[in-house]
Amino acid sequence: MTEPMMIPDVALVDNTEQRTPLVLVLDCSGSMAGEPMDQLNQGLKLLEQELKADAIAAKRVRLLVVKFGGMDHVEALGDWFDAMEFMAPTLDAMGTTPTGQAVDFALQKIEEQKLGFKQAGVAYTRPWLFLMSDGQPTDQWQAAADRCRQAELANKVAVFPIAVGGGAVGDALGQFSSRGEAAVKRLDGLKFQELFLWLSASMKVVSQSRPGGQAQLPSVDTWSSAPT
Amino acid sequence: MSWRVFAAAAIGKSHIDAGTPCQDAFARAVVGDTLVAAVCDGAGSQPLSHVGSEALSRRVVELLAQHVEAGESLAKLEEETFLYTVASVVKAVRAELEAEAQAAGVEPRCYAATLVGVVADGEGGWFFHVGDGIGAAQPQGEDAEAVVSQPENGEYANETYFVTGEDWREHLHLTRIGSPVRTLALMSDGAAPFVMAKGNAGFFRPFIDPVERFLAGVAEADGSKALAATLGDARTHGITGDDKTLLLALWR
Repeated sequence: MTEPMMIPDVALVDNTEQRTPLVLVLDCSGSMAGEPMDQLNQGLKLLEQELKADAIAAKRVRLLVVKFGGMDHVEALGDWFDAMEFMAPTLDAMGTTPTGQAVDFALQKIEEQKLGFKQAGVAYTRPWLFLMSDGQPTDQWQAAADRCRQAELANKVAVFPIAVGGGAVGDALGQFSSRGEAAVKRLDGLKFQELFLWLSASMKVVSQSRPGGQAQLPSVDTWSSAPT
Repeated sequence: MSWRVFAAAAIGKSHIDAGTPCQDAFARAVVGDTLVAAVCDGAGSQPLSHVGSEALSRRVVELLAQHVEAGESLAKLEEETFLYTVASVVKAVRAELEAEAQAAGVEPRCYAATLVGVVADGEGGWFFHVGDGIGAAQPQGEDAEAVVSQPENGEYANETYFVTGEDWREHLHLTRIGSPVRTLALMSDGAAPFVMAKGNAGFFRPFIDPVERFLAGVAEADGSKALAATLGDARTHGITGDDKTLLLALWR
């Protein structure tokens, strides 16, 4: 059998610039200390590896890690990084749970990033805000939750609240999403590895998604105990 | 001088993996000195969009070619008249799709597809466009700048507009090709990342130059086969998971 004739000497390279922004808003309050934090750190390393291993995701996914904890403290760990240059941070757990501040900060960072993309002529897909927490917010979070819900309704961002452990954290987290508590996924035990594998798989799909395509996300069965 | 036309659609890696068909389609007709061609890209969210993109590209080209066969110099029309003609054709094809959808018991949006097309003779012509995909024309002359019909997306790169949409008329755009052309291209958004240079300002020379050199020396059927093999090359899988369609017309 003969191979179909190829046109010789043709360069096949990607000249587009397109990004899928992903902000990880991570609860680093005292209650996350110990095993949960170790697992979270391993999960972040796995996310880094998985995204770097995918040729398209490595170029297109752009990450920012925001931690909250300390004395009602919120900070970005470095700047935005394309996945190919992303180095997973090692987080530690201490202090309170200023979820509202953290989400406000993340929303602001997302709008700044979009403005940067527009000015540079870089196309982008809808940013993801991945909000993970194991406890009740300790700050004035309701107004921030309203703003976050509105931002999602206005199609500015897709919000993915993840509840770690038991407790009533789901009620509060649900208020950050326009889909309410139904949007909250509960992490089953400490399956952070499975969670971050799912996140990297989802990012591979979304970073490749194209007009008219409903991005078909992988199932969350491997890590979530939420009833569907 | 005359048009020589080469075209191929290669199924994307993500469609191979998911077992879905190639949703791109193309059609072309040459009537005397006038080329009529279209490339359509079916919406990934619609399981029947490959039917829509095939019918849309085929019928738009057939109906426009009928105008040319009837003696109208479509490529030379003023903007207003050309827009009226192309809008009437798209409207008629939409009506056909709606009738087909009704007969099949599905919603018309199941056939959602984008459209980028061209009507051109040796002196120039028009691109017409709804949604994404790209039309590009390289005028004759060494340093001439390419004429590009740019894709129309929403805020996000993965949102666009379809001919089946209610607001298709607002999104029907024309781009004038005002001088004699050497090379014309229509492509789907899957092919654009490697066919076009950064920012879609013009052709990416390391791609288009070897392609043109090769096509200039082969028959249309052989050239289209080689184009298909090139668009299906595994190197494209690191660029896009999407279907890749390229229609190239050389005026020589």
